[in-house]
This record gives sequence, structure tokens and C-alpha cells, in this order.
Amino acid sequence: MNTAILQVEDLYKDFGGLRALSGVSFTLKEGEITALIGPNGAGKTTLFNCITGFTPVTKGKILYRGKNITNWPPHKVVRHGLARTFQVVQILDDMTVEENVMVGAFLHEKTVQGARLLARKALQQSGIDHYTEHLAGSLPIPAKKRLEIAMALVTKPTLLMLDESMAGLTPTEFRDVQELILNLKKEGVTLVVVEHVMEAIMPICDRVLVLNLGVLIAQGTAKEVAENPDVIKAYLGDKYARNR
Amino acid sequence: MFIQLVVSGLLLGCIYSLISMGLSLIWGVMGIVNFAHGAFVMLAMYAAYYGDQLLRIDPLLFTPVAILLLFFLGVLVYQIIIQYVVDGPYVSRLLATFGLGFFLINMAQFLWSPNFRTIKESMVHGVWKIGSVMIELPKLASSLGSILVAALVFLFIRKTRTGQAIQAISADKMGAALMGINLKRIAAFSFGLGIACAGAAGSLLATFYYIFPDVASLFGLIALVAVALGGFGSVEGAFLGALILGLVETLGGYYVDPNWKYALMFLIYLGIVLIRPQGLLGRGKV
Amino acid sequence: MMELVRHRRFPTFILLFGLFIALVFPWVVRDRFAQNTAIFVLMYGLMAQAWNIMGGYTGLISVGQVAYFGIGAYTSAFLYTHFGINPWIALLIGGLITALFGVIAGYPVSKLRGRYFSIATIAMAEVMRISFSNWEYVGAARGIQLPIEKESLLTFQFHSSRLPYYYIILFLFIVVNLVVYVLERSRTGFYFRAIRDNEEAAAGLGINRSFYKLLSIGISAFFTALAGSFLTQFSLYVEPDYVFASSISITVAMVAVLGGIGSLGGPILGALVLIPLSEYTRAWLGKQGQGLDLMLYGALIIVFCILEPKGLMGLWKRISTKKRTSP
Repeated sequence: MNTAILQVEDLYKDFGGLRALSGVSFTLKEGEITALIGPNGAGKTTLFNCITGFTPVTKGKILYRGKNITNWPPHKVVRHGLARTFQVVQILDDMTVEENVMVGAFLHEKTVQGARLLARKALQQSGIDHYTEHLAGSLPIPAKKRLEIAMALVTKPTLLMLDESMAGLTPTEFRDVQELILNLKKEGVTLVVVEHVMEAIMPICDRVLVLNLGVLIAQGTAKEVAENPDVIKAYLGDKYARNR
Repeated sequence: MFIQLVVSGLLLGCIYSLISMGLSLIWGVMGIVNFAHGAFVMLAMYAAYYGDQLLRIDPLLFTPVAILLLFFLGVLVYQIIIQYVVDGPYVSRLLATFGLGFFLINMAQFLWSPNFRTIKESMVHGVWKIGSVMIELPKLASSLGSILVAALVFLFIRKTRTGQAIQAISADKMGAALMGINLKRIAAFSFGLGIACAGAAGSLLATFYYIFPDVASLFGLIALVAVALGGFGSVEGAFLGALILGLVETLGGYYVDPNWKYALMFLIYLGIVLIRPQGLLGRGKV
Repeated sequence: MMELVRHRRFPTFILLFGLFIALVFPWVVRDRFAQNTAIFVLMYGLMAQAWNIMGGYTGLISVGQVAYFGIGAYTSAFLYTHFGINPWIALLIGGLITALFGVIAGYPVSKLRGRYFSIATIAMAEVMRISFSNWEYVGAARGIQLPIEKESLLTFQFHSSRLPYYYIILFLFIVVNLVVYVLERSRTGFYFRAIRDNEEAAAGLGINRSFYKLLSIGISAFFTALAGSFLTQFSLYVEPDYVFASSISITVAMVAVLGGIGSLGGPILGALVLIPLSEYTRAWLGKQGQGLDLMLYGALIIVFCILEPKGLMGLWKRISTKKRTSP
């Protein structure tokens, strides 16, 4: 199970004069849950966008199962089994919840009936099947977040990247998402999770990547990272690190 | 000849700038692309024409009157139409202003016939010769007038309280509302101001341009393209776009073919947005 | 407020009933003006439905559909007069060439969104009008006259009766509606709507945005061109200011918006209401001065955008839900 599924090699991303990512390299192993953390503006979402093709890469390479997917268009990336959610929920507001998921299901099912069946299954899996015929845009935020997960799941990803799927949820709600993530891991899906809520992600992840100001400053197990002085500095400032 | 064309192009561009500035202002404050903008230029041209015919007031001197007339017309249009569509779906906003333009152009046809009219001779006439460059004085006067009006509007927006409210709304609608700015009042005022810009340009254009109902479509489209070329939300962009269009019009008209000049202007626009979809000075996502 | 969606579509039986009425209409109403009006209802209905594929389903709001209309009209007129190609084949070739044009010209333009896209479509239409006005090879501003032939289905000319024209345009109208009917129930239709709602989300779900946008533009251009070719045969001449008139673009968009966009019934309903209204006001006011009828038409557009921004389908939906909730 421990083969590399995603390799990011020396990745750079510049926005005009602003360097958002600087020489980021890491490898994800198949079947693991990886947490990607870092303070605001660290470049987490940019990294997601680069990997999934939503933002062009300035320099560097992204290999998915040994295949170079750098700067592939987003739809092609998804078709190869790499799905994602967005920090700001991206759903199809004027379509029903079921139709939202069906759009993703069409990747594997050409017929409307077939797609509907797949969609129903994904809705059940993400626990929002009671909203099936509601207009997606009219859902409350937590339901929208789950819908987005269902949309990503129905594309049958081998690597799923979740961007703050638990932000703004109540403790019970994020426990549900935690459980969902663990279930996905059991099914063999590799996950990368961006999260601000540390207590939500730390207990369930196998590995942690820490990004600060576009640089990958640490990686390792949750424990190793928590004790890393650079990480402490990034989160709490210089003074706190020196006093320790 | 080249310098001559560049000078003529820039003079024309200044007038286009004033029209575009009004369009840009209205977009900034209420998110409405005014597809009827050219119709207001046309109305002001007729107003100036009748000012000249009936009251014997020169179009150049008539400009302040045109500004006032069109300002109140703009506020009126906002009160009876725009405020009701401003929160509607994109297509109904778009078609409402289209319908308005259609209404005004055909009203002009009905009232004043589709015939071409011109003002015989404006008080500023003749040609000014600097070396080999000939500057037609009516055009020069109109361009200077346009620059003056544009500068006044610009100062107004930067220096007055109302102007600052307009800026605040353009930057952040919610924030402005929270600060206690009366959105409806400012929107009505801005719409009036935007239309007044078109009115000033119309009155200035009347000194040397043909006056006919369908002139509205031409100026409307030029202003839209200038703003899209420069980038929505950027007044400087609208200026730049308008100057480019003015230059393409005179240079293209001479070196390519006068019949093709407008096609050339729109093609250049299409070419530029191909590379920069957000316009030359537009920021962020399209 | 959460919104539950159950009955979004126009009931099929109403469509079938409408089809029956359409088939018998010219036998019941013999008035020539009424028959002409019916032909224009179908022609604009055809174009509005084509607009709907792009605008209503895929969210590409065009106000320059006349570009496709005019190119279709010119291509079939040109092929017929210069190469003697049968009008029916010319109609088809005109459609295909226009679809190709739509895809090629649409490639850069389809990257634009919202107002930028709409403005680009007007600019494009204007470029076409100017080009055809100055292109000597196709008659420049004079346009092309079609020779009068013996009347038959093969020559696509009928002089004694309007009926054949009526049934031909009815046939084309039914075809475009069938295409939309099938589209609504297919993967492609779902993809179109997904792109309209949220391009990023659509890409994230594996949709090739450029491909599906161009597909919808291509289909839309094809059917709009058929309407143009039909007009060529119907009026036996083409002229730049006639077949590239910007008012056609606005009317097409207005018919679709008036009816309600993004649904099969919308453009049909819109054409049924708007075209007779404008044709009859034109006939009624036409002699009293040019412009007055179009002035009223402009006012009507404004009033409608204010009162019913979601279109007649929105109105119908409101009425039908009211009925359902009341005992």
C-alpha cells in the first residue's frame, strides 16, 4: 500500500511580483490521510489550485502515479481520479442537490438513470440524502459543504483533497465529517485535508505538512510537527519560540 | 500625415473618453451595463441642435444646459426604471437598458425623422495650422470641452462628500451601507451624473457631427467597447480604451479603408480581450 | 428559505396540444397577415430556442445572434445564385458553415464571462454587418437577389400560398424543440447547466468547459442560421442592413427572456406573446409615422423586465404552485 501516489517537486507559483509558493516538494503515500496546515495566507489553497489545474504553475513538477500532470486542465485531472472541494463552497446553485451530484456521476455513467443511481448512493454516503430535491443554492452552509464532498466522491477519486470542509461546523457536525474521512480511508482513498481546526484533523491524520509563507517548513507525524520549533514560530511568533 | 492622424485620433478619443467615463461610473456604482448610453448622447445632440435652431445658442455654450437636462433625465430614468431592475437577474438588467435604448432611438425617429441634420457653423470654426498638422478647431474645442468636463467630474468624485460616497459604494456596497450611506440616493445621483457625461459629450459632438437617431447605436457600442477594452471598474482603463479606439478609427480609416474603420476597432478589441479577458487595466477575474 | 423543486418543466401534454393547434392553424385562419405573423412566430421561436441553448442552458448571454442569422442567410443565397446549389442543400450547408464559424469565432470569446461576453457578441455582429456591407464579392451593400423560379418544394419557392412556408418553418421549429427536449434529458444538457451555474465547480466535476461551451454555441449557431436561410427563401433577397440588423438580436434574446430562459417552454411562450404583439402594433401604428411601433416595443421590453424578470414561465410556475397549495 505504501507506493507514492502524488509527488510534488520544487513547485513555484508567482502572482505578478508576489511569490505564493516557493520550492515546495513532498510525496503522498497511497492510502494515507495527510493534513496540510499553516497560518492564513500560507499558500495552502494555492497549492491545491496548482495540483488540480485551477491555477497555472510557474515552475516545478507534479507527478500523479508517476504521470506528469503539471498544468493539466482541471477536468482532465478529475478524470484521472484526483478530486477536490473548495474553501469557498462551489456548487451548482440553480440545480437540485441530486442534479449537482449527477453532474459528477456522468463521469462514469453516460445515462441519466445510471447517474441518478450513483448520485443517490453518494448522497447517502455523505448523509444529505434528505435534501435530494432541494435547490442546492438554498441549503444551509453545513449541508452545502457535505454536498460538495458528495460531488467529489461521486467522481470516484483515488486521491481526494478537502479544502476546509469542517470550517464553521459545530463539533457534532465535524465529527460526522471525521467519520466520513476515516471511512474513505478504509475504502482505500488517499486524502489531503486542509484545516484550520487542529483538533478536528490532528487525531485522524497519518502525516502533517506545514506550509508558511509559501514554504514547506516541516513534515512528519502530528507529534513531530507539534514539537518542531519552526512550526511553533510560524504559528505563535518569534518570541514564543525563543522562550521555550 | 501620420502625426496629423494621431492628433485627430486623440481628439476624437477624448470625446469617447467622456462618454465611456459615464458608462464606467454607472457600472461601478450599481453594476449595470448601460446599453442605452449612446441614446443619451443622441438625445443631447438633438437638444443642442434645437438649442441652436430655436434659441440661437451655440452647442459649445449649450453644454452646461445639456449637462443639467441629461442629469435630471438620468435621475428620472433611474427612478422609473433602473431602481426596479438593479437587483434582478443579469439578462433582465441587460434587456431593460437595451429596451430603453430601443425606445429612445425610435422616439427620435418618430419625433425628428431618421434624416441627418447638422449645425451650420459653430462659433468656433476654421482650421489651425501647426507646421503640416491641421487641427480643425470645432473638434479641438469639443475635445478640450470633454477634457474639462471629465476633469470636473473626476474632481467631484475625489473631493466632495457625495463623490466619496460614490467611491465607497463602488469599492464595497455592504460596507458603504453600514456606514450610513443612502444607497438609493447615491445610485440615482450617480446614474444622473453618468448620463450627464453622455449629455456633455453629445452637446460637444453636435458642433461637428451628423445628428441622426441611429448615431446612438454607434456611440453606445464605442463606449461599451472602450470600457470593456480598458477593464470594467477602472476609469483610467476607460480613458485608455477610448483613446485607443479614437486612434484606430483615424489611422485605420486612412491606412486601411474608411468603410472598415469601425470593423477594425471592434476587431482590435476582440483581439485584445483574447489575450487579456479582463481588459487592459481590469483587475481580477472576469 | 430552502426551496423544494418538483415541477420545473412544462407538461408534455400541453406541448402536444400546442403541436396539434400549430398543425391545423393555417387551415382555420385563412387571413394572409395572420399567416405571415404565424410564420414569424415560428421563425423567432426557432431562433429564441437556439438562443436558449446557449443563453438559457449554458449561460452564454448573446446579444449578437444576428451574426449567425446573417451568415446563414448569406451562405444559402450565395450558394444558390453562384453555384446553383439546391436551396435545401444550401440551407444545410449554410447551417454547418455558420456552426463552424460559431465555434472558431467562439473559441476566444467563450473565455469571456457575463458582460464581457455579451459586449463581445455585439461587437462580433457589428463586424459581420460591416464586412458584408463592404464585401463586393457578395454584392456589398446591395446584397443578393434570388431569381424567381417555378414554385415547388424542390425550388423552395411558393407564390400562390403561404402554407408551404408555414409548414417548412414549423418543421424546423419542431426539430429545434426536439433537440432541446432531448438535451434537457441528457448528460450534455446537465453539463451545459453546470457550466451556467458555476464554471469552477463544473471543471472540478470533470467537465471540459471549452468543449461544451463551443458545442452549445455550435448547435445554437446552426439553428439560428437555418432561420436565416429560411428568410432568404421567404423574401428572396438578402441585404446587410436587413439580415444583420441588431434589432433581430435583441428580439431573439427578448423572446427567450420574456418566455423564461433555461426551459423548453420559455421561448415558445415568448414567441407566441411577443411576435404577434409587435406585428399587430406595427400594422396598427405603422402608417402614422415610423418608429412609434418600435417605441412601444421598447417600452414593452422595459415594463416586462421590471414586472416579470423571470419570464412568463416564472409567472406560470407561480400560478401553478398556487393552485397546488390551495385546496
